[in-house]
Amino acid sequence: MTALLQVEGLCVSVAHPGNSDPVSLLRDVRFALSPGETVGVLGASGSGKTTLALALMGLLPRDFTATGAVHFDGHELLSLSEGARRSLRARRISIVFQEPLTALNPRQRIGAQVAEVARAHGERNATRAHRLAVEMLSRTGLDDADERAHRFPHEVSGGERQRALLAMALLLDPALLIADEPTSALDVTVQAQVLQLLRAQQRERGMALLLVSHDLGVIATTCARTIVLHEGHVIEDTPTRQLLAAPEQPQSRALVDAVRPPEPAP
Amino acid sequence: MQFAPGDPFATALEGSDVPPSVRAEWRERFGFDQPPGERFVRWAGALAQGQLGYAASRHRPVAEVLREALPRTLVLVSVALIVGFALGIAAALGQVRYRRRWPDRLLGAITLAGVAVPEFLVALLAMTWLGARWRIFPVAGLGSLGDAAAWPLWERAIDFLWHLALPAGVLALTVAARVARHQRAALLAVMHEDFIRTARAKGLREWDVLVRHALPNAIGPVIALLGLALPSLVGGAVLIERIFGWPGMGLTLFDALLARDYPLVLAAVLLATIIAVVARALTDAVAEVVAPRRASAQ
Repeated sequence: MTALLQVEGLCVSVAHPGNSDPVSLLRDVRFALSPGETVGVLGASGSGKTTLALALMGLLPRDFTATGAVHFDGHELLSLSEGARRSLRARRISIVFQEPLTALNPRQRIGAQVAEVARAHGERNATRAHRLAVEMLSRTGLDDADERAHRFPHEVSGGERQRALLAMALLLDPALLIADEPTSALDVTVQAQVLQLLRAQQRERGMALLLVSHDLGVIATTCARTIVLHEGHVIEDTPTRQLLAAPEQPQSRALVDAVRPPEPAP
Repeated sequence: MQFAPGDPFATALEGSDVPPSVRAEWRERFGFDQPPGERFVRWAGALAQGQLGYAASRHRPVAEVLREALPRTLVLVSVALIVGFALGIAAALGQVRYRRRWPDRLLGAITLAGVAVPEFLVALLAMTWLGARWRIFPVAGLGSLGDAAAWPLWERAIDFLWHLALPAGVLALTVAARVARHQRAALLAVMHEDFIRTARAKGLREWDVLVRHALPNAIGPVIALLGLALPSLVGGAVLIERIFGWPGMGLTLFDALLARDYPLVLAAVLLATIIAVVARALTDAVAEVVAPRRASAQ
């Protein structure tokens, strides 16, 4: 099977004003993702996970520079025009962010925020866009989606907000979903529900999933393969099962050990 | 004003041959020989009964003078406000859209100049060039003279707007400069928020990200600020009306001060204060409607 996403020698650096040397955030990152595959990106804080997610979306801040090659769905993303990248966003490649409260516009109703995705990609009929949004909200497990769609983000729970974000990302049936720490801001029980929803949606649509997390527990339940990032390098790219059994690198071992239950006290 | 030398009988009759004894008699008859405190109490008592008194300098009742002047100022100020607000927000959006590129720098320089250069100077320059040199707009007055009164309504309306253009335009520019500077800063603060990133991730155009997501979250403080700036706008209107001969509240107050027309000055100041307070309450209400989340945020 040909790869849906192929990242080759991706380097991202940021120039700080007043500091002559740009700081490297990602160095020579390479990996591939087949259609429908689930891959976890594991790494400690500052390892470059979010930078990678933003680089794939083309949403890096302006003072960041990305070099290398990112092939996606027949396009070379890094050399694509801004307009062409924009038309891929949310349509072919979507992202769910970490913090569902701040990731939603506080002054816009949830339904309108979801419907806006359809409208940004050519749906001119506002009623149809809204109906599409409500339908997707109920498919992402929002109870009483019709009524919830008319609420503001601060009027619903954290889990419901994350479901709304997921509805936005899934509305146009993308080929790849990037989930950047989708559960870190949620309670443990809600975490489990959202992960379950992610898995179910991924299977149902046969879409590829890139799940970014610092928590191997989250990745282990969802992803067949795991890429470990450490200080901007890919230090491991193995089936998740193998990573759990025998991590090769000391840095990965530390991340694996972090989720093992501690030895019982003697 | 009471402590400055002179009174209606000194200024209005200046250079005339009314003998001092007659002036003294008039002062006594109209109560100008009483101490200021006592006269103020009498004025306030009359006010409580709805009496604003007589504007000696206009030879008409105060209420009548104000009833004629007030709508003219309201038109001037509200047109300046609406146009200035729209221009200022458009400028700020353009600046943030093309941040750190030439449109941002150019508009930044213009708005800085708009805040720094006193409005009477802008007014005089506009009058000189647009009015006198190029003759695009009339330099003064409410409307054309001569047989203009016989024109059909729409022609008179256009004539009125044509005369309004310079005074309202100059006032609008000073409003726009202030609004643009504050709106740009407020927008830039919001552009760092996560939901802006979400909006971009949806595939929205940058302009839609700005107008639909950044602006609604950044406009509240600017509206509130406008409420605070209103009194100074009314103050600015006094100057502008004087320069462009716009016979509104500002010019009325100015002339009344020079003529020592105490009842007219007092009533005009009182009315301006009431308007400022009402306008302040109105902007608070508008800010509440535009930014409804504020009170219910967790």
